[in-house]
Amino acid sequence: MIPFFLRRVGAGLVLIVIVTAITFFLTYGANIPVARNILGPTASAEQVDILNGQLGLNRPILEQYFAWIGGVLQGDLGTSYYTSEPVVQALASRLPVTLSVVLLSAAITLIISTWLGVVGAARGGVVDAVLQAFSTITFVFPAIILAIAMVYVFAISLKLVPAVGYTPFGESPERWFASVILPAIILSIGGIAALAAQIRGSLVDELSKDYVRTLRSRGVSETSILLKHALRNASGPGFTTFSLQFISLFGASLFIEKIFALPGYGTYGFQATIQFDLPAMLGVTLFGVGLVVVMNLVIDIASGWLNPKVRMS
Amino acid sequence: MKSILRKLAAVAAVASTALAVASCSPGSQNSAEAAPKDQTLHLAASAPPGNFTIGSWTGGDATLFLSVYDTLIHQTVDGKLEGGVAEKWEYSDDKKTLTLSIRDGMKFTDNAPVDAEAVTASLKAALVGPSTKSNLSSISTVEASDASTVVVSLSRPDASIIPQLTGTPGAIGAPGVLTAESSKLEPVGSGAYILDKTKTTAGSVYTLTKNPDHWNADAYPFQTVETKIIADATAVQNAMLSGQLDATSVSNMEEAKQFPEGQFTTGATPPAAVGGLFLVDRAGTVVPALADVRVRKAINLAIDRESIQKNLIGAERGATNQMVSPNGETFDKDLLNEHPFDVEQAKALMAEAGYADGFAVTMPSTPISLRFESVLSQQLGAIGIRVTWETVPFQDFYAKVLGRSYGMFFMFNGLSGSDALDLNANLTGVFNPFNTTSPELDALRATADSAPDSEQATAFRAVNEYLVKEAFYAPIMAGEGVYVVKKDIQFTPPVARGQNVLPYQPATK
Amino acid sequence: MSTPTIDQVTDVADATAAKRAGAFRRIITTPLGLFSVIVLIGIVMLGLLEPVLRGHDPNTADLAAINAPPGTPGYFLGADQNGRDIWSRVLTAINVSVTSALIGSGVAVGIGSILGLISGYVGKRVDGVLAWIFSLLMTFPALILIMVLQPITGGTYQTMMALFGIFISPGIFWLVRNLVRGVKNELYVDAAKVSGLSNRRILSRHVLYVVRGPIIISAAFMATAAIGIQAGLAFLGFGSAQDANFGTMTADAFLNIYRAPLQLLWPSLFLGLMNAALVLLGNSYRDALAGPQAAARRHRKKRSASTSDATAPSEEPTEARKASAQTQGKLLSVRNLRVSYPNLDGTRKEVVKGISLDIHAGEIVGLVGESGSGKSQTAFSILGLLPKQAEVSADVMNLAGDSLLNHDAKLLRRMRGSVISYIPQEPMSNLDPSFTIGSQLVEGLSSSMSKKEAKETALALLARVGITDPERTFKSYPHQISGGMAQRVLIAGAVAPRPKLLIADEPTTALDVTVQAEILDLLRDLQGELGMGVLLVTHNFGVVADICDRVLVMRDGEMVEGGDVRTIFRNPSHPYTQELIASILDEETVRTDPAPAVLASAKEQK
Repeated sequence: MIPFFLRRVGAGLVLIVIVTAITFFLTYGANIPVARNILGPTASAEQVDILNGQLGLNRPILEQYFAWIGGVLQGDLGTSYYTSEPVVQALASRLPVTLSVVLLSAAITLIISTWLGVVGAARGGVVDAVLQAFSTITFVFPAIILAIAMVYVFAISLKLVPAVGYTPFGESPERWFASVILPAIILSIGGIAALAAQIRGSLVDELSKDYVRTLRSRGVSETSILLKHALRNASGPGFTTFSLQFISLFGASLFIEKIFALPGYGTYGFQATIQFDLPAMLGVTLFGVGLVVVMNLVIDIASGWLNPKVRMS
Repeated sequence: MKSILRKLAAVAAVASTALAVASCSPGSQNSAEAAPKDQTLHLAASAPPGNFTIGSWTGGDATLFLSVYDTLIHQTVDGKLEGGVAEKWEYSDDKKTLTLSIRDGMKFTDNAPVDAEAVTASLKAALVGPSTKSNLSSISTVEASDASTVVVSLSRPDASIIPQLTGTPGAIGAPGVLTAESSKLEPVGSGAYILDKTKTTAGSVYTLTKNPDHWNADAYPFQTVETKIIADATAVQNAMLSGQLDATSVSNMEEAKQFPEGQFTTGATPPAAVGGLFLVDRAGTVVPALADVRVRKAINLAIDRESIQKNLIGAERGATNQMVSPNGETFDKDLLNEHPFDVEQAKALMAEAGYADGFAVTMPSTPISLRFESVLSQQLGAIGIRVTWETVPFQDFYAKVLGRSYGMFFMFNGLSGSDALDLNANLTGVFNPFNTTSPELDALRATADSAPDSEQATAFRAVNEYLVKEAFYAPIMAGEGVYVVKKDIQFTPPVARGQNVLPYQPATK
Repeated sequence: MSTPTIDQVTDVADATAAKRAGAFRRIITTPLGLFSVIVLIGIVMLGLLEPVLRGHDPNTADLAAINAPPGTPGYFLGADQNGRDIWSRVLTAINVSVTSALIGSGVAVGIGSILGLISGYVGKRVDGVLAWIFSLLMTFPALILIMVLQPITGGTYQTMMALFGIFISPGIFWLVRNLVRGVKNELYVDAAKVSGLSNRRILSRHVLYVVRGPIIISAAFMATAAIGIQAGLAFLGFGSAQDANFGTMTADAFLNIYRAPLQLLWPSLFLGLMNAALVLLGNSYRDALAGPQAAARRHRKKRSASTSDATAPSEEPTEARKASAQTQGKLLSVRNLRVSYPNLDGTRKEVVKGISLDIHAGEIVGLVGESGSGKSQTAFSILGLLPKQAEVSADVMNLAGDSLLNHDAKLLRRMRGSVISYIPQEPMSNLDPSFTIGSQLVEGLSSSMSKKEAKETALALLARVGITDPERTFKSYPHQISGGMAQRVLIAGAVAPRPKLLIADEPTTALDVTVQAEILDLLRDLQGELGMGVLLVTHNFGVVADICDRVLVMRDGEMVEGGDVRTIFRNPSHPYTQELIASILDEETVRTDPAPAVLASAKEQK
């Protein structure tokens, strides 16, 4: 287990280095007139030079890259050109927002799709058909329409939740919940159908296995067979699907954060990208890849934990 | 590059959220006691403020900056100049020495005194600041002659210095932190508000709390001003409708209609930008035809401004052939008859210039020009000018224009509230990438800059007239914007853009 | 936002059924397939005919038309807040979406399938390197990189989609690589190799043929993903707004929602239609490739109302009562047992054709026959464990005086836990891999005793069935013990409730020859100890001779012969029985074919 773990960490580090290097050279090397764009249309060439000097953009690109790497090793990702906030600090302050939405959404997805999957597998027939229809509709129905409808009903008409913005949990747990529940629900829509179908399929597979018949022959109740044995064995593939969805939730939260003006990781990345805020872009990329690496490790460990064969060896 | 786009769009279409000018007479403001003591003003900005360091402020909307820092001179809602940090100011006869008398008894929020020395230090920082340097390029030295007097020496008379000192270049920061690293996010000034670090998340929410020691504190009724950064226009709209925001702006009355009349007040704001064709290659470097004034005039004659303003912007008023604010002193109504819409005359001028068959020209296509492109192609096509629109990613726009890739382009340029400043801007940077000028123009500008106050307006009208008659540009529109505020807020549309939150007051019941 | 999910991709891989010919014809004969094809062709045609169909230039703004409602002359779908013709913009947007779909899925399919073919076919080091690269690529945060890499995409949607195609190509790569690896070892490629075809021709002719279907299905899902991502990025403001597209249209309409909510409908409608058509097309193509199985799936649903619980034919009540009277005093009595399964065409196939049997207390009865003879079906019908689609009927089915017919599921379950028990054939697959041996044994026991007692009983049972270290086995997971041990565990589980009837389905077939004898000894000992009746299902007359008192021979669902073991052994009257007895001598190898074919196919249908 340990060597395997170390190998995955090593591969993850390689991935991080490769992706950030590609991003670095493609963005810094693209000769985007950053200083000019920051200073605006009427700034003189001299002013642009001053700013370029301040930002260190007049150095050779390799020097800039090693400076960046040096900073990263010391935990410094540079300072945003447009908000003057250290990138590390910005990411740290924005992470709770995104995590609130994504984790809540993941919980909603997991609970509802497990429920739907179990019911679908146990009942079949109509439930199954409803699931299929639900799956197709959510797949094709732009989530944004739903977002608009929900904002209109719950935020503007009923004023139950705010239409924009985020309240930290520490400030007020209730207001925190109100500020993230709507985005989390909308974010869940796409994932529920896919995960439910996956869980249903795995459950049906498990239920047709020999050990289920043997358990039945011993008079074990159907509920126990379904919820204890089959679900446990179906959780492996379900977990893989769920973890991939979890990663993609971070991508999808970009759209949700923009619509709800949530100051999360997505809006930060979005703002950084449209402004060509290079340090912030690099930080977002580094963080994004790091997140994927960590998630993959967690997936590996968790699926190992789920599977006694891996766990025991 | 959305931020630039946004900045330009903001100036283009709308008076931005905080189009305000400090109106300084405390008595003129309606009663502060009408508001509950703890009332909060909720505003939104589309992009986060970049940098609070003196001389480094970037971005169009300076509400936050100018709330934290006080400026040397203030400008009233109707554009008049009044004392700020400098209670009084005085030019020498040759207009090359400006003497500022600093107001007594002011303190920065770190308790340092706002004296001549502090003002000098701050101005010196602005002189080399990356975003203010060129604005103050005519200043040669700044010296404190005594504890409450600062003497500013100019290398040449410059009429735009006073208006500059009402804005971000004239902001005064505490000497202890002027350009220190901490000043980027934790500014120390003597302005009407203090940036509340604990309730501020960079890039997301900026909270200002009232500075009770500000010399004009009574003019600021709101105890707290909260500015949310909301990039998405629909999110702003939702926030307004759900009651989370107090004010916003929209591009036209039609758009304002979605805010129910019972809950919101709407009104027009003065033009915030002039849009049109910048015929920048007046030397004919890349588009030889543009060197001929007759061609530039023909372009002016070929454009049906009224129709564009009416059909594309949806406003009866606002068509213009001048680059200055229609509300300002420099604007010349008589000049409006110059280059009327006249295709025949335009064709004749083209023929006279030797371009009877027209010529081909490439213009950059940006998100801003998009909706105007088909009509411009069509109207210029009528006199034989064949336009090719080349899509330019926004982040490359400035660089490409400055790299002299285009002889002409469509753009908006913001109006500052000072004609001197605006005329200057239109002959600077991106708006004059070929650095065209003429001895005549130089002379006119020098005269205007050094003219005594009483003659200044006339002198600048002459500059304007020259630019119109020489067809440096083909201006099209300077339309009004529309503000929307909640019923419990009263908003006074200021003449010039970007000061602080002074135009917002609690509504009198 | 919508990227193909794992189950879509694996489903695609599942759909490698050979039936491919006429797949398209089959698609358009299903209503959904026809709908999706028509919608897709219709939408693409609208895009292609854009120059003819459009009213105004899609970017031309006209104040007179601002927010014009649908149906305004010259503005078929109305105009937006800038006075631009929505119909023209929809047509342009269709072209943008179609181009995005083509570029996105085209790049993914191109890169993924070519490299996947190479990787799967060449194998070895090439495969190692490519697999590493693609697993790396799979973990890239695609959306963020597409945004961040604007300098190289230049902000045009075409290059963004090409980049997106690269990021999603691992899906195709893995699919193709794994399919090719599977196909490579199949006979016909070997045959082709022998007949001297070049690698290239083998790849293009045979391998490509097999992977074609799954690629098309994946491409359909990737096309929807590309369309979605393009619109999403444009909605956020990425990419040039020069070409009208559904993303910017949605953003515009979003901003305008309170004035002209209908404007949001058009981009959503066309986007939704296009995605729905692609998804449904992918699904119907998958169904078409899967062929008859898909039909069977539908059929099963229709018939799923029929239960596996046996029902007595009601038309002859007196007959049944008479038969019932005859069976008094026996442990198990079955009369006229019939089991049938639905066919594809709606008819039913009978696999057990009216057999009758009796078992007395303390008696070991062998039920012998080859695969497909219906012996396991008979055994499972007594246990009530047949798949749902099986239909079971009998005149009499009595166990220890209780009828097994028309009982509710709960009572049957209680009987299974106490009166009747089961030992399966394959020991490993009959233990839940995720739980310890101990917890699985305890679970069967804990309904009748406390947890602690159950544990002690389980340990005692493990010792009794000959496991040397019961404590350790108790804590072990199934994968940690041998097949023989596992069978002992299953026997322990089966005898735990001291059942009256034990049904053993080929209990030794999957085991080593040396272990077989031990297990049979154990069974005999336990039978003697507990006085159980045993129904031993086997194909092996040797086993029967070893342990049984009586034997019943089945063939094609019918009983051909029955009686005392010694009698039948010495004097088999039916030729089939003679054949079976003769085959004892050949029985050296372990039988590998599983339960009867019907069960197997029922499993596949899931």
